[in-house]
Amino acid sequence: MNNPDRVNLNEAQSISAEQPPKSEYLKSIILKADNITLKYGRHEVLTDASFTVEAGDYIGIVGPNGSGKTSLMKAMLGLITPTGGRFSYAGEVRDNRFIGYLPQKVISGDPLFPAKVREVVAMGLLSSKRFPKHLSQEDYKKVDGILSRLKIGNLAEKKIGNLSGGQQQRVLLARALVSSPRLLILDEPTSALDPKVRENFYGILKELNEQDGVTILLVSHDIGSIGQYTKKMLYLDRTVVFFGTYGDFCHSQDMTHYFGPLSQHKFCWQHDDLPETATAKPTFHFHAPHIHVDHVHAHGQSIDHSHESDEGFLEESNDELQRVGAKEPSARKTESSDKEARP
Amino acid sequence: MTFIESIQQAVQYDFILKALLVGSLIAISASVLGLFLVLKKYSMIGDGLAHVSFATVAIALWLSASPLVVSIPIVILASFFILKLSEKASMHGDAAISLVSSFSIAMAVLIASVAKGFNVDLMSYLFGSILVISNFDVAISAALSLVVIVTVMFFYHDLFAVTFDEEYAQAVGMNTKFYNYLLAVLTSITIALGIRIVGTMLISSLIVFPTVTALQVSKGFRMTILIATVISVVCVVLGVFISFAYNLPTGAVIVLMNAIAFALAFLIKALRR
Amino acid sequence: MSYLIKSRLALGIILFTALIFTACGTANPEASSEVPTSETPEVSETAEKPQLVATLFPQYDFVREIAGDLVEVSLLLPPGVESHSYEPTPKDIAGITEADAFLYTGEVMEPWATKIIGNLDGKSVKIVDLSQGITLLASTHNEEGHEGEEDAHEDEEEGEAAHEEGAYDPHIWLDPNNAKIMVSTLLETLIEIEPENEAVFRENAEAYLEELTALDLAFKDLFAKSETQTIYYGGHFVFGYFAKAYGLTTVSPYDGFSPDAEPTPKRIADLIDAMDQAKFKVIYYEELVDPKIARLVSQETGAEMVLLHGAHNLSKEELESGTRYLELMLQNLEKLKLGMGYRE
Repeated sequence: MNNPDRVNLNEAQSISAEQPPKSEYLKSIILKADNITLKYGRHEVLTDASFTVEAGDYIGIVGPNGSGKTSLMKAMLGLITPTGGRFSYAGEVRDNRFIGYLPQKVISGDPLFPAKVREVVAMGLLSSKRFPKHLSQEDYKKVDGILSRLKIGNLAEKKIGNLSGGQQQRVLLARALVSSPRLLILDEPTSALDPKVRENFYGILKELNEQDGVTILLVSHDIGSIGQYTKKMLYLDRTVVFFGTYGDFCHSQDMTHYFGPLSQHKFCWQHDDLPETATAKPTFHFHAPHIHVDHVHAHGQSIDHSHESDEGFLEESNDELQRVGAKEPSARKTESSDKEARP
Repeated sequence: MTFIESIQQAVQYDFILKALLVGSLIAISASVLGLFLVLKKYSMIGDGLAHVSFATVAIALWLSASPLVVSIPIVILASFFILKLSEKASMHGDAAISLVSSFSIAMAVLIASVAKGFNVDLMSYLFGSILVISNFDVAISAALSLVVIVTVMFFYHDLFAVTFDEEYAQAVGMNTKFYNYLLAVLTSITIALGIRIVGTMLISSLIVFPTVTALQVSKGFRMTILIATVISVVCVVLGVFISFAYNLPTGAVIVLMNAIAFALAFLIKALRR
Repeated sequence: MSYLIKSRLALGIILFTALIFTACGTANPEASSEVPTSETPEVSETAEKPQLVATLFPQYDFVREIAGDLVEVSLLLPPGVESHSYEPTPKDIAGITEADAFLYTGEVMEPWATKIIGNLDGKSVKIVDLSQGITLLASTHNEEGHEGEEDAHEDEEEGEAAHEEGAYDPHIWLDPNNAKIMVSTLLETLIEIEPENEAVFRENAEAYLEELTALDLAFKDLFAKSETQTIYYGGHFVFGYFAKAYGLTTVSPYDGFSPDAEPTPKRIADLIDAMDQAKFKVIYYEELVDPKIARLVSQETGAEMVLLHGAHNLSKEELESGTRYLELMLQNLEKLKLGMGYRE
């Protein structure tokens, strides 16, 4: 719990020199990862990962199996200690009290477990309590509140083992949310759900992110569809392959090299017929950012490229976007703040 | 004489009253802990630690020491050992318990044969002597139950969280290790004390039976513990009275009552559908 | 070092320690004492002395009375050990096969003896069943299924055949008249083994028989002059033959003849009630076992706890001080005076 590697960002004197220039959309940094290296046994599963999570971000963490996604998440939660590098947390997120966590398994696997939904959700409030822990009326009101927010208020008294997969998932989400966390970490939350339920679920997440400003980190193996929902992508394959918006992803020649144009196209979700999901896409400016990707896994060389060749493409997609109807800039991030933190 | 009359007769005896009191106290401690243990799939720990306890009694009698003083620390250590085994030595709780349990029985047999001299007194720990309870036992059992109940009350939410979803609890910063070891300590104390009174054979059933009975009919966690406790106490009380009225051995009747309670609960569950 | 190795090491240390204890245990200092112990003595250099192995204290003592130093007799049961749950070790059995005579109380008391006897074919050891010539009393108590409890002592999983104790009372030696018969049987045996000393044996035996007769008369006198004829006993039912010989009633909460069985609450209650009614508040308890029931009765009724020795076996101290059967019985006599309202 008290990870010595966790540093209060607000106290730290030196934030990296690469602090993004002030703009009207200066966001506070929730979590910063500096050169995180993680080992599993003797196996190094993640090397030198660095990225910055800002308040209000909605990041999909993707990568093939064994790419270090789950380990990274566990490290963020303090379950494992990085062998190298460190995390810095904004003060309010430091003590786990304001991190909501939705684990991968649907339920503890035990349909016999005698726990009412209300009791399960109330668990989410425990980490913020001191001994002797006591759940007050107010606490239970919070529980009921989040249950109705997630539209499962009617399930409050039901035994958790009796619920469907989708309902259970929502209960666990309620548990993650009941303490009104600023940061929400979800691990493959919809792998066991059917499409309609999944849509529903993501709808809730969107609401939380946009209306409540909750920062969301979503680990998923499903890179194909994740771009539909999240705003940024952190692609891991034992190291950071890419971190940034989908727009950036699409325009990155490195990514074209890495994934091949077809996959890149598919992954970045730049053209989608459904208007709702268009909101997941960033706006485009004429000056596409520099994207420096260190340790490009496939090619082993840093690539620095100019953007001239991209401009035409950009304009084209921009028009397309405007046709589809991009969302208001207020929910967008500016390019300047999308810069990937350099080690 | 009717059953009621024999109850009236029974309560005139001090030893019956003590049996009722102490039996109930042990029953409460055991069932309060029972749900956590059963859900964590440590149901056999009652049996396992009872065997350890039995071995420690053998050691204590051999050294002419107080069985209680020798028992409690060793049983606690054994429970930690079981926890450690399941963590580190690539085995689940049940295998770890089995290991420790059979080892202890072997030790008990070894010691009993080496030391040569207290078989009957040792045997009485096998079946307990709920009818022959000293005032010291009454005081100790009362203290124990108080400790167990109060501790569980204070740590209820955490123990619940750790039992329901240990990984989540850990992820949100709870010291799950502490709670697991806390449970181990409480269980060890309950068993070390319990076997004096209800015997090795019976203490395990006091932990498991009422809990699984309650699970048949209950929805909530807290409710399950409450139901289990009530059932446990009722079975002890009924067990004492029935064994008195019909001249039967008390321990066995208590277990029988528990079995009947389970059957009833199961019926209720089946009928509800 | 990894935890796996650590835990295995720990296990290894524990087992090793256990082995050490076992080794120490079997090489226990008692073996070196003057008093014959559970270790069957090796054939000594000086010996041509006959070696006898007695299972229980009474016959051990009788042999000493009859033969004194002329034979070597050992008591199989280690001091302080309760006799009903005793099982012989391989060493014990080896000792028996090498002895000149094996003296056991009877099939009922030592069912394991019959099993050993099966293996003694062809050996020269004389097998002496000391219950011969004695009328066995059938159980007057309800024999419950407590066999399971008895058998559970060594290994819970093993389901051995039930003791026949449920059927007959094995405590034959507590009636002095039966003791006399046992002495006669032993005399014959000793003469067979060591004919040279026949005269000595006969003389000693005669003297001893006279003492036993005196004992018998003393008891008869006691009970003739006593107010009550009931013994309240917190132990298992030992004094059946004794009671029959002298026309007494015993009240005990145990059903069987073995101390393992737990009495039912009703029987305890009955005992308490009986004690409340009794004129002389004395509750007797048996030797070598923690007297829980007697203590309970004492607490509830204010009765005095008094030891009544069943002479199965002695404690270490008793054995070392050379206590005799006669002494035990005479002590019992005095104790009974307390509880029976004896008037000179």
